Amino acid sequence: MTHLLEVSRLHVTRRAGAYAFRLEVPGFVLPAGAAIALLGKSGSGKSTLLDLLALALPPDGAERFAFHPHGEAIDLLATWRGGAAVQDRTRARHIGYVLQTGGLLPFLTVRRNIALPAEIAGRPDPARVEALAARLGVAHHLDRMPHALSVGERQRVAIARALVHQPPLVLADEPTSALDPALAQEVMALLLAETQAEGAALIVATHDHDAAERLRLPVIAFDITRGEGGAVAVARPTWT
Amino acid sequence: MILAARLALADMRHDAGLFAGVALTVTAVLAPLLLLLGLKTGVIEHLVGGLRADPQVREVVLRGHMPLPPEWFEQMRARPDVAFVAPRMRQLAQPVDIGPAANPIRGTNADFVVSAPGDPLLGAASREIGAASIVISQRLAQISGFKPGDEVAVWAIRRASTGNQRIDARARIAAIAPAAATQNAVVYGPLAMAAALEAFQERDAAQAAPQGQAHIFPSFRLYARDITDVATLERDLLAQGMEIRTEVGRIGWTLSIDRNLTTLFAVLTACGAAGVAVTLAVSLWGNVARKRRSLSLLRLLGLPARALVVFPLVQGGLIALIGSVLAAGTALAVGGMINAAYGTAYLEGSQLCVIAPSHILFACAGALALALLASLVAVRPVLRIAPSEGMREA
Repeated sequence: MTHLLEVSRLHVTRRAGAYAFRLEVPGFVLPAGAAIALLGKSGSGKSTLLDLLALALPPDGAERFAFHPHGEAIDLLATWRGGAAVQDRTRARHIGYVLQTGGLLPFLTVRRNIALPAEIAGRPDPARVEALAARLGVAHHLDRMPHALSVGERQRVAIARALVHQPPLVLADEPTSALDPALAQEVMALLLAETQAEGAALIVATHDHDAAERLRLPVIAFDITRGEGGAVAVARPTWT
Repeated sequence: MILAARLALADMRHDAGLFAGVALTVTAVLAPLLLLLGLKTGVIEHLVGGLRADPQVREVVLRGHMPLPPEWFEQMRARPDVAFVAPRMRQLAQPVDIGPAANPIRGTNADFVVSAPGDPLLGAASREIGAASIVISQRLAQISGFKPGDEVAVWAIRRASTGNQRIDARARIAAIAPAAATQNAVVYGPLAMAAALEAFQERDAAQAAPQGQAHIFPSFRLYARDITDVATLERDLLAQGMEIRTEVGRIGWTLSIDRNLTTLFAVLTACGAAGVAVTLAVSLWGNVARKRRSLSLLRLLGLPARALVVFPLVQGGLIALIGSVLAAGTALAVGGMINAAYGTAYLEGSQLCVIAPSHILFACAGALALALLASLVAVRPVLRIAPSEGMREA
């Protein structure tokens, strides 16, 4: 069977002055609908890997970097040579994003924030916006502005927004780092439950080891070797 | 694109106070400019309009006399800068008498002035002049009591040893000349009539002019097409050795005021436009800079970069539109007050402040063009916003 995501020998080097940070991903596959965690401390390379997956950072090279959303076959490495249009389209149709904080547009109501990805993808669906908001418990906030909501409520809205256009892949970057532990647990569980209910795969970057364990998420771990003038991080799946 | 425009509008609604401030800045610059333009237009229209309305401003007067053959008149008539030229039979007045056709015994003294259709002095009344139809001045109409439609006799007297002799021409009064044409008693009639009366008066009846001999005229009545043509005509006629009197000084003064005010206004407009452009550019650029996180989020969510360009364009355009509409409203209101307060007092009833719809259109279009130009400043940073910035806090 084809997997949603196939990665092998993916690598990228980021430089800041004389300092170089190299990330190597020997390989992993992500089946459709699966959920994994990128687990590591700040600066371990998990954000870099998430950026690569989000088509927000060009990799230096890869043996295989393939994405199979909705039966399509997209060579993610090739999209960096093919121009922005393919990437924009891929991001708009096939990926949902849950960001750390403030991932909502402050000038749009909750309703329009949730609806936005579907509108960008050209598939507006007001009924689905309402249904998602109801499931995530923010239906009564639909016509309020994001700043009127608590941080936890905003992350629920962000989850609804990540799912509204029915993407096969949801990327979450430290989605609970701004929340207190109890709320963090709740939101993380909700994120996992909702993506699975929608049949979407989930890749969540987190430093919260306990959360990954509690939710029994397969983990990609980051081994860092620091040397003179830089560091090399190797991201390996801990499952077999 | 449409989605991006809607997002730009939502952003404006969200930051309404800020954008209203920028729009009011546009208004603050545009409204006084519009008023100034209105005042300039009002004053110049009054001055130039006054000159254009009075045909005598365009008259080129020959001082003294000069032998002028019919060919000279043909040449002048052919010039595009000449509105009208007619011969004068004498250097000064050509006296005639005018009386009722039914009983042409007692007449009223009048001057005969050669005219023809197209004579600016008579305006529309000149169209009525024909072989046997004449126009009389208001003064003459007052003295004689003649009205349009009256049949009259126009005659000239010749004193001879055998006693006074006279020659009569029959004519119908077709119209009364405008009051501004003259204050004297004047008959405006065709050249043939004038020539016949003149020929009789000048020559002994026995030695009538030989048939077919071209008449030589001593003077002319000439009007330039436009006030701006007077100077050239004056120069050309001076070059022909004539002594000429025109209103070219007064015309030049008025036109130079118009020119100077136009230049002044252009300078002020340029300053205002530069101010508006800089204000808009800075605020649009600032807004894009402040909204960088939101814009990069939109990129991350898959909105193409070229759609995001619409963001500053829509905002700039709307600011300019709101600003210029407010400016137009303000200028019209204040202009109306100025007219009510000063108009009648200074300009004999004509409006001191004239803001034409074209001015308002020009202001709106100009502001819009400036806004789009200014928003280009914000387009470059927008194009550089990367989706990766949307991933985390700045």
